[in-house]
Amino acid sequence: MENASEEHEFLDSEIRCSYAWSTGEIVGGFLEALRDRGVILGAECGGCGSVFVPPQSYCEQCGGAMKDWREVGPRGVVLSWARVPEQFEGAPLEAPFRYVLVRLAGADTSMLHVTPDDERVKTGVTVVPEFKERRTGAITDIRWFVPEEQ
Amino acid sequence: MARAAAVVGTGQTRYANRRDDVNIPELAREAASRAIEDAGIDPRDIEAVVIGSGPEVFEGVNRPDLWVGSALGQAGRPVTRIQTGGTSGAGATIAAFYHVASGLHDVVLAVSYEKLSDGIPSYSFSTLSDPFWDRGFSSGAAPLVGLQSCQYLARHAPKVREDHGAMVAVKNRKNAMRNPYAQLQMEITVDDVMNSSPVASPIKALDCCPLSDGAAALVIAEERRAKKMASRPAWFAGLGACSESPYAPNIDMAYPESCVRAAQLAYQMAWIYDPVRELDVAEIFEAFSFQELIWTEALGLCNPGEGGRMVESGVTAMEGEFPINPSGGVLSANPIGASGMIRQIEAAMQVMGKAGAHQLPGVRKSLAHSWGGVVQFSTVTIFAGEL
Repeated sequence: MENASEEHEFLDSEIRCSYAWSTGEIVGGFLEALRDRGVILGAECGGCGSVFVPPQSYCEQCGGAMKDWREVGPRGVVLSWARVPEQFEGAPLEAPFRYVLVRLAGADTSMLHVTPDDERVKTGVTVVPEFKERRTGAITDIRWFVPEEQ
Repeated sequence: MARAAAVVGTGQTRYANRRDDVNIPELAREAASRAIEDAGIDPRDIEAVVIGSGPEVFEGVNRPDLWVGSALGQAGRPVTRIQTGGTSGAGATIAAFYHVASGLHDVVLAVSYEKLSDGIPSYSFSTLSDPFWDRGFSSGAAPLVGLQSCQYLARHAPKVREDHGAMVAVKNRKNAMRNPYAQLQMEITVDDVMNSSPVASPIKALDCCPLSDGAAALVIAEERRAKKMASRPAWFAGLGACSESPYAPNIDMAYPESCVRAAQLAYQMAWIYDPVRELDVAEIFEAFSFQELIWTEALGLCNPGEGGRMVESGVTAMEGEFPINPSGGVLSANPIGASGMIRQIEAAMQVMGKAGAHQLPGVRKSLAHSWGGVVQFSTVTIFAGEL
């Protein structure tokens, strides 16, 4: 339309929605172990024997059902890392910090977590988890991983 | 394949950080009208529509297909929506191809769009993760690809270096200057990229795609109609789509199996044995510069570890033996739900001879690639100028 204003119109809105996701027994068992015992569990597949950390109720490799729990770690190896220098909305920690992929001892899969911005955090370094004092049954009950003191 | 089908018309909007002048259906309609016009048909010739767009949370409208479908003048036609992360646009094209190749419909429209400016992307991205393991970390795209790139560089050092990513950014941002639809067009140097502010190591600001609003569309027709609609239709010669673990740490992000497999499926269908010799150009989905190196290898266009050499030697430059992303790629515009389709449109236009200022000479076969999710979805589409 020829005489339309240069200023554009917007209609403001917001969606607010809360959720409570059922975890199921396997995911629930892992989270309970974090909260109540401060240990990290892997789930062993009854079909191919792979130990998944974090666990899945089904094996994505062979389709088998999870058979047993195995305590894994606490030590793990950093397989990849990315340093975040600037704060962003929804960041898990105050920046600067690092994301890592960690392969825990006894696990066949890696997990995503965070570390402080420590120069020692590089591919191949051994790390150990630090648990929070107050735990709620979430992956973030592990506060972060830190390089193991030699 | 059941029966032959080709892209006979394409349409794109100019990609921009904000398109405040239109609402979502109007944006989609802009691209759709151009595709219909390019195909030289009437909107009533369309028999079915497939719509691809990002996760509903990006724009905050659930079931947007109903809203958008009617704006395209397609009330009364079958409307299908495809949502597979960054591969949504490409998946929409592939679904539209199935509609025609199956014999159910003769002429189908595929449309894809994204209007990130209507929402808050950083918040939306945090909701895409698995609620149990990833949501607490809200890693989003850049940190995820930072982890991917770190893994890739560590594996292939010293053959591949961080500045190889910078070379991709320089190449593609310059190529974009010949693409009238591109959002970011700039002449920069490797030093500019290496000195740009760090985002999530090794990714820096100039290694990143922009946030974009935009839409793209194409018309697919069966053989007899296609030959009337386009002087040089872009025939679907090969297709491959694959997915793998929804948990990124379980994927070998430096050489993802879903990408390798999708490419193999497409090459098999197209009877291609030596991709880099038998194809003339590739449009691949490099949301971040290092990904162009990684996908070049996973698509079998070079051996693992040779991604750096491909860009450094100039092989993948506009004037090189195997140009990659002559359009400027995703680094130059990323309306997420549409980007996979834009790669297909660019690859199709090269075969059709319609790529304008960034047209390469003598293109007989082209490849379009896309990835999505936490690197777990991949698609590969191959177009040929002859049946």
